Amino acid sequence: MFIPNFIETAGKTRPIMIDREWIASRREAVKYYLQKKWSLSGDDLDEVLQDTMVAALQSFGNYEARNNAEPSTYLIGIAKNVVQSYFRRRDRHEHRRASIDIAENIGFFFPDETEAEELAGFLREKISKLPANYVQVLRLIYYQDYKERDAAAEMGIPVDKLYSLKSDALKRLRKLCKGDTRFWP
Amino acid sequence: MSCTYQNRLDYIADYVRGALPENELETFEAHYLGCDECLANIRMMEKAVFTMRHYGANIFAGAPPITWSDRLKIWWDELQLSQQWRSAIPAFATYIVIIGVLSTGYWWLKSSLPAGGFGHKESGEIPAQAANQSLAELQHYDWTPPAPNTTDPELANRLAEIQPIYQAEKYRLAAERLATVVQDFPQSLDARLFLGISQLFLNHNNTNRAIQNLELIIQANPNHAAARWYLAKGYIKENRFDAARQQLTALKKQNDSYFGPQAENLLAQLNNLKQ
Repeated sequence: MFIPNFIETAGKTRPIMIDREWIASRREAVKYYLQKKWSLSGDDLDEVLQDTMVAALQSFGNYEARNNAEPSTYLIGIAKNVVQSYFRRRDRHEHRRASIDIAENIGFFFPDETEAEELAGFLREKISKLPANYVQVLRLIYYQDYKERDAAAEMGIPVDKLYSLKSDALKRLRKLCKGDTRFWP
Repeated sequence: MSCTYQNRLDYIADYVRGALPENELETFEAHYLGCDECLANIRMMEKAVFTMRHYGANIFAGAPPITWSDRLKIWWDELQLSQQWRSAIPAFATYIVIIGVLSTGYWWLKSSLPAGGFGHKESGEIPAQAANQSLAELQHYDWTPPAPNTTDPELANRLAEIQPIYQAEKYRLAAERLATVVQDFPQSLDARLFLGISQLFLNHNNTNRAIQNLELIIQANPNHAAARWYLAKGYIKENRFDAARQQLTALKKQNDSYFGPQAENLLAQLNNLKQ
């Protein structure tokens, strides 16, 4: 990753420049952002991503780190402008809010459905090793789509405690998945 | 540069499932666009959340319900305690439990054993405490002075001085005085007998001396019933039950009118306790 130069102003450190290498290194992050935030996929995603990267490369000299803005804030602003222009051209004034269906999602995260099913088996084994209350939290929130308040009521614990449990469960889950290349390519 | 975003995983998980509040959304998006660590974690979490959402029926099938131990752990985690107390309380609780278990075990063991169960036993015989408390009880033996013409006058005089002391059951003083008499008149069985009896009423060390004196009397006169009876008592006091039984058996055979029935009775008690 490119680390921009920094300048000390009024006791604060801020980046003073970005360059082509740094912009190129952000391609995957921008792609994920467009897919996640604007629900783009397929040709739409490719076109908007390409336009965003080109726009960023053409205009990075204008970045002045005003108000201590991070380079990524500058980049996200460019992505927003590009995607809104794209929607205007296509007469789509609002980005799709409906969630992407499972087939598109599998194509985005997994090569095919078989790998998703394998990963489900892997997760089943790993999650079974977690304490029961962690499993309950993961089940209620990430499978049954409960809000935190409802999940806390279901488990008979305070909401604060549920947030704490959820946080711990996620940390344990990440630790369990850490060595697997399907999660960490 | 490593990521410094606080509670990164919570933000990531909320973001992935579309639950991050609007006011935090753009800040976080701007952050992960420039952070490789967060992007890697987002990808991992996307896969995990997607898999849990769409294959949850399989993943969470048969998930155990929350048990009382889970609830206890939640309650413990909620307590506002310093790290020192968090270490000290379980250690103290463990200490209390260990003490409780040991105490219960001790009292259970003690109550399940017969009285005096922890005392020394001679070849699997009667517990010492039982013997000391019941069988070794001593009765005062009346001392009638011998006829003056059958005894050395000096001996008779000295015994006559000690006899009231003994009869007043001042055994320690009687034993001290009789010890000097025995020193001067070692052949006097009466002096030795009452010395032995007095010593039996005293403490453990004196019991051994009493036994020695009474044994000497038996050696000199095997038919001395009183000496045999108190010798048996001395043996019981010292938990030497086989030796006591031998003396009582011998005493029983002597058909002494006073000590004979008592010997028979005590022997029966000893045998019953042995069984």
